[in-house]
Amino acid sequence: MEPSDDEKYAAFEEKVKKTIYIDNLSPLVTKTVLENAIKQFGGVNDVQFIPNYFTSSNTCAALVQMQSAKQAEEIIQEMGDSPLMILGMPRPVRALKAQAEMFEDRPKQHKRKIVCRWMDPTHPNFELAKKIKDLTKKHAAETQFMIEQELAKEEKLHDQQSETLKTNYKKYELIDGAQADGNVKRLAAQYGTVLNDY
Amino acid sequence: MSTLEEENATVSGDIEFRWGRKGRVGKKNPNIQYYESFTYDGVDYFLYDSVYLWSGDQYLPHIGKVIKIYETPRLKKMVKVVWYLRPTEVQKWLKGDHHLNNELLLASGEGNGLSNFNPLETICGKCNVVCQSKDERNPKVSMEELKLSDFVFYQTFDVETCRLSEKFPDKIAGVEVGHFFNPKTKGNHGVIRKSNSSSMCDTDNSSTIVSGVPASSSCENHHSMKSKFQEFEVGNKKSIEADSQSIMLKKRPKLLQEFEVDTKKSIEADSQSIMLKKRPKLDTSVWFKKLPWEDRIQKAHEVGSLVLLENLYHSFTSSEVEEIVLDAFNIKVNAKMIQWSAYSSPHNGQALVIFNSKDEADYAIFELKTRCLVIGAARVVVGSRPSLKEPGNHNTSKYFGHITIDAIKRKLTVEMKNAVSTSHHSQPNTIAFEMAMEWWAQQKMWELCRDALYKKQAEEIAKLKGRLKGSGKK
Repeated sequence: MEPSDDEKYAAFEEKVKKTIYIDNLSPLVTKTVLENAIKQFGGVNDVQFIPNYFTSSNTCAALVQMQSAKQAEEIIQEMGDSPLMILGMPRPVRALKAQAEMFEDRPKQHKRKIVCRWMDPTHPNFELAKKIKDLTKKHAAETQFMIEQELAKEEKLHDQQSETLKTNYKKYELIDGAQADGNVKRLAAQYGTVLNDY
Repeated sequence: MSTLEEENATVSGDIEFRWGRKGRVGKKNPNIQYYESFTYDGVDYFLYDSVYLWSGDQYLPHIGKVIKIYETPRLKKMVKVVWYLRPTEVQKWLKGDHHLNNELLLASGEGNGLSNFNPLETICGKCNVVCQSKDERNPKVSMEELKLSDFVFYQTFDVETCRLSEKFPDKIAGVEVGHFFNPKTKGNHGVIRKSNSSSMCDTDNSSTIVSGVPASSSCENHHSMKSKFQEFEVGNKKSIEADSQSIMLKKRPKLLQEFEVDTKKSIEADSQSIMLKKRPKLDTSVWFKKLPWEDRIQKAHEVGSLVLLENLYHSFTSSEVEEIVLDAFNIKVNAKMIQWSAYSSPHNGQALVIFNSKDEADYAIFELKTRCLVIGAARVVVGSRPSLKEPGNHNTSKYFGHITIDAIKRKLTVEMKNAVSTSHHSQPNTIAFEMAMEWWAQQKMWELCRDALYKKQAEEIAKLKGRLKGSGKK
């Protein structure tokens, strides 16, 4: 017996509650990687990536379905408290509650009638309708601009952190190197200080 | 239209085939045996039936009327069909005439495109085509028959002069025009025919004819639906032979059930309703499982038939978008709602629509530009050609935030490299943690920025909407 539309939709809503939306993922993350990463929190039912056709952002997003809604909520909480990094450091991923519109195939929501009509240029409200269209385009451009700005900032932060990390590493290497070839000992002897630890 | 090529020459042993009534032998070549009917995969076909034919790489099947059925001396089964043309196929010569969604044009005249000889195996189903011509030789159809029909036609398209006409000549392709009109009813009430078969079919095929009052029409519908299921089977198997690339229908079981529900609805539906039309009964585009969306979108983008629709309601499903396009443009398309992600604007629902050709896409975009398609109270749809991300750059696009130290990398052993799945929870006393915090801070800041932007946009939209509604619109 085919389930009714309402039943189908109710089942779908249940599914949505159990699902986590994760983004800020690297494009190199595969289904297995993601599954393994989340497995430590609880049982994973399904992982689905959300395709990204044209926003210029290069992070990926996915929908991870857990076994219960409670688990999903807990994980979202945890990921909000301490950063989880997948496949690389240090950028943490972000977890949010999934929403119906994120899913690829949704059942229709009970007999909704969609009325659409054409408006000719002769219609009195045509100018207004045109304005709405233009507004939509403007908003889309604004959103796009913001994404680009965000991307630029991300790049900056990445480069900045890269630099910091490199110099830090160099510093440690230097110290290590100095200790390894005995320079530290000689310097200590020279200055008459006592070395701790070594 | 060229002769349909069949990839594999013979009917596979799987599909049941039986000749029906024999006709005459060929006049010039007595080794050719004509027939008046045959059974193919459980469906009975008769001379002058309207059928679907599939040509492997076409998006939609062709529709034709069988006017000759014969077997060659080499035992090849052939049919001669006169084509029903879809208005989109001859758009060049129609110059903007408006055509109904399920309207066809009967080919007439002489020359290329009137008819073709095809292997019988390209037939993939029966089609219910009803003639609505006012010609006095054409029996009128009842409302029930009209509702049950797949297609209608009332005009001819002369393939020689490339002109439409409502006049029907006496003969088309050497066949009396009477065979193209609706079959003459035999005085039975509520005879609901499934095809334009000639009167010869009465005795042979019990499933198509029911005599009696429309009260029994519901059980008749059941019958006709059953045969239609079988037609799907035919189409299904044809696909295996026809093209090594076309993939088996996965959605079939669902389709059968959908179809049942659809038919019932269309009978009860009010023909005057301005609401969204239900999908046409024989949804031929779902017969064959298609390539995954990624590939289709790329292909369509290259061809130029990909259109981005914006300002839809977020809660639309892909099929609702397809219905809207069907309703607004009378074009069957494939659509996909863009999945909402954290970067999507809550005001702007978007969908990618694949049209059947670049011309259709151009037409749609043009219409959306010059006129206004309004959905619901005040959503005006915006159409445009999207600029897609390049495919395949997927792995090489720079992802910011994963930093490695080259020196350490060099020391990685082979085992370490092969290790799968690295995920890491940072402890507060590491550099990684601090850096993660920096990323978080940035994320948060952008979230706030986005919220502020969307709020502002919402206000702007509400203002315009209010003006639209206030000036007396529904």
